[in-house]
Amino acid sequence: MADLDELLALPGAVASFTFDGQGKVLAFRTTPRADIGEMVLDMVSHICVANTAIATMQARGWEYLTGAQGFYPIEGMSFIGFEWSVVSRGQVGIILDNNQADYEVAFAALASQVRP
Amino acid sequence: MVEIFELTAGEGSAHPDPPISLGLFFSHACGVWSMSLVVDLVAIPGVLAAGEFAYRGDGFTYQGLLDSEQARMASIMCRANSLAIHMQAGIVSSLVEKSGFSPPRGWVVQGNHFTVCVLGNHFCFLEQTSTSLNQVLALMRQQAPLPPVSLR
Repeated sequence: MADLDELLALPGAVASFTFDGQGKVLAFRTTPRADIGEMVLDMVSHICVANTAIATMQARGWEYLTGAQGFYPIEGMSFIGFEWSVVSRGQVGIILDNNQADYEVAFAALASQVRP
Repeated sequence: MVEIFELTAGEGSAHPDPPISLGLFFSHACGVWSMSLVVDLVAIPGVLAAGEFAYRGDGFTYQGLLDSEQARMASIMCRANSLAIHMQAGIVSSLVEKSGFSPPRGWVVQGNHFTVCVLGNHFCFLEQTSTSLNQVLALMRQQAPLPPVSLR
């Protein structure tokens, strides 16, 4: 089980959340620093599921077509917006303020809590 | 080696397959010639390849350890995903007054050994264990141009 409070303490984190395989939000934490409502989290969760699925298909195809290894399975994805970024792995996500975001720390924190 | 890759309907690049190609590239969408970011990215240890694709899908350039067919496929996938995140950010921003995601800058996917980063219309393939993702993203955010207004 992901520790959402621990993830919310990461540099730049303004929200942390878990979701099911269909993108439905299961639990979340937000900070008052950003106005992130449940509708945005719901959309973001669905985006995480959709983009991870597409990336997984592409990584699979890339490895078949090129013979390269190391792209599959997809272990994490990030959607970088103008002010915020979403970083997700498995069924856990974090929203970061880009000005303070540390993507390496965020991916590592998710990896320590989540199996892809 | 300097080459321009242009895609025509139903065809890939008509150019031979150079193992390493440095291309000059005219970005139709942005209206500028661009290659410095690609050169800067491949100079970072652990970066396998970097490139630039046209938002309109009619050209790409790259440098690094891809052949031209692989670079063509990478450009198509990166462009498709970038257009998708513009669509997604557009939906979110239409639902709330201020989402923080629009206009989107790019995306990252991590495999078990390699990471693909896209900022604007530039892509970068890097090895996770020997490259700083933060360094690559900071450079790309600093130098990659914003998408054309039509995509925002």
